[in-house]
Amino acid sequence: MKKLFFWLVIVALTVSATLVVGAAIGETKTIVFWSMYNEQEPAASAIKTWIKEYKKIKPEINIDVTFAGREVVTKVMAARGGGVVVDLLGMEGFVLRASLVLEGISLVMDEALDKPGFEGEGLWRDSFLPGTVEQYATDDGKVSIIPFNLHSNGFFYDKKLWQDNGWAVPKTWDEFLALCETIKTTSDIAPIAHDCGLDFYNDMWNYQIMERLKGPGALLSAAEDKTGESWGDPAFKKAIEIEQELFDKGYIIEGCKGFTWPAGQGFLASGEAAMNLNGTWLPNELRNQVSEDFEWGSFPFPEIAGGVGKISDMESSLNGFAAFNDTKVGPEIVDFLKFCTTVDNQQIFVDGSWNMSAVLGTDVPTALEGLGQALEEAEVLFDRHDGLAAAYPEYYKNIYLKNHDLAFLGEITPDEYIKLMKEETIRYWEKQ
Amino acid sequence: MKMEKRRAYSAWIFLAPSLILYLYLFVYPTIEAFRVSFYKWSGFAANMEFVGFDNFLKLITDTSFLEALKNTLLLLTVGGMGSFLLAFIFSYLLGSGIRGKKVYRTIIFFPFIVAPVVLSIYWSLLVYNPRVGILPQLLKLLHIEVLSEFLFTDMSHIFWSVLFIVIWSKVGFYLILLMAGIERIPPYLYEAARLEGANELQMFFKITLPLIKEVLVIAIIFWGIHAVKMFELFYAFGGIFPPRALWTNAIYLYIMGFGKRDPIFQLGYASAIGVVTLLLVIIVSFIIRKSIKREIYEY
Repeated sequence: MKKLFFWLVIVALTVSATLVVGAAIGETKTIVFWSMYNEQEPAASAIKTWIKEYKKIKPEINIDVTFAGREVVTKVMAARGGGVVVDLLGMEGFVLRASLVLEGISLVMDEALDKPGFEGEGLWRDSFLPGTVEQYATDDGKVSIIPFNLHSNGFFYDKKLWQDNGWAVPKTWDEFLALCETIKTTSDIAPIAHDCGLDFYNDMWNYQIMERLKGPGALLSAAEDKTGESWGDPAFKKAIEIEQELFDKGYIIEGCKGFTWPAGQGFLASGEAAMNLNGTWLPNELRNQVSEDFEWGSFPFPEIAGGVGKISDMESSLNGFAAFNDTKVGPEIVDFLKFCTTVDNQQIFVDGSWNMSAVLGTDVPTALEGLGQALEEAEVLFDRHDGLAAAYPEYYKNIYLKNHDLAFLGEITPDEYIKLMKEETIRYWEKQ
Repeated sequence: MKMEKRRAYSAWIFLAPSLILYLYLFVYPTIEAFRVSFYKWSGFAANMEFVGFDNFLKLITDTSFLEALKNTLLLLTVGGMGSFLLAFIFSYLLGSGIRGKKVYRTIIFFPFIVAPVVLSIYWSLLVYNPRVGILPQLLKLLHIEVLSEFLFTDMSHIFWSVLFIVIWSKVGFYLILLMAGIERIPPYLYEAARLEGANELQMFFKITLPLIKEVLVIAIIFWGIHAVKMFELFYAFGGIFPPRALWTNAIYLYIMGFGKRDPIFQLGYASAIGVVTLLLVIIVSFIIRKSIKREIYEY
């Protein structure tokens, strides 16, 4: 009996001591963070480094990270529906805007942005490339998405191959067509590699051409015009004619209409095509496929004579972070995100993933120098797909991309495309 | 009486675990899907707006849904006919006393056990690819110029090319089912028919087909359910996103409900697609059951 009493006292003392020590060192808090990256990706390695370093500074905060891949929003939707706590989400900005921000379930960050950043110098808001923080704000200007990974769009090529052949980077559409003709007639390389199997890759041509013809916002405005009349603007028809000309003249690699991704971009890596219109994620995607002497080069979409868009108008699309407004660790999330968006931490991300950062002061990776420089000099920034995917995703997918694909691949004429767009735009708005 | 009651209780006790799981994992979500299909709901926020039959009415005029439905029905009918025709031909050949029957049967069955994603990558990048694919290269080697330049995976042909893969990969499973039925038929029936002067075709229609009717009905229902729900092979074939020409009901449901790459989050509408798909499965099963009369043959 004495022995039992002795052990009970020991246990009681141990429990009390643990509670006292626990209270003294402060309560540990956990941020549950789900990321769009897969664990094997270089970007995920950068995030793991951030978490490791943050833990050294703030041991009382745990970051419980899940690398859920590009389907992260779907997975978070299911997880939260099943009662799993998720505080923070990392995903493409336009997806976060549609899923969290417009649904009114995201944590508004304006107050935090108007306070100093992690290193305490200047406002946190001012540490980002101008315009990027506000890019996915609500219509009344509230910001919930903290950007980090900046993407743009343009042509990618092998500098060495181009130097050996004496090909120069085109600045105008006429120069571009002349270059394609030269490549086609003087080499056994196809001028352009392209993956026709992806509707949103086919659209890269259309929204870039439309931007150069009409400036940013023309596609979005046409989609918003409930009468459908805006599609009657000759520029929309001209854009399709320009695209079809590339096929008709044999500038796009033979057989590309039967390519399923990533077959097309593979021909840039293998040196069988001279260039590929793509997003700035391309060098990272192909880094293990290109030969050792492949030297990445990139340039912005050329200017089109008679158009109002300039070569200095650049696409800016962002991957970012957004927190749920029912989180119990709001201040901790803000602190962690401030840490993630310091120049040093963003440089880790840039170096590892060959991506650009939305944070000022980070270097552009060598593979993206051409487009990086164009972004630095950009006078106007416009969103991917001219903002249509972010603003009206169903219209974008089931009307615009559907009909554009038909026109791009030559299944319908430019006139039929315009007619379809007018009719289906009217029908779409009637149903809303 | 007491004994019977005790037996009934025992049966319920043993059935309970699977029954609870079935109710929780199938019946409850099905009822919930029916309920959600009457709402406009993103799946994220708590606010659900009751819209009655609006989601179902929208389906009728949604050309993307109608295209997906057309693909699903083509898959069901053409895919089914292709699979069963080939399965019957193979079962006839394998049943004709050919040497190495088990080896052939294993070879035909093998694609069925390969993951659909692997099949997709293999066929899209290594077989059909217009520039480096095995098929165009082989056709070029054989100097069949017209076909060597044929784009098996362009917008107009991709559905049929993938349907071929479906048939190729599923035929082994249906072959096994049919052969199991055929091998149960006593050989003396065929011997007697032969003595009476029946040819192979007559024996197939008069002996084989009637005597494997039970197996055939089960196999066709399997196919029907599988075809209406088919997702993975078509979805994976396009790489990061399936081309529109490959959308089935199940793929369209996923795109509309869960914002695959594009942020369309219409879980209410997607549930309506799910409800229609479920009804389609029920109707298909009912039609198959009713159209193939069950007769009992004893031998």
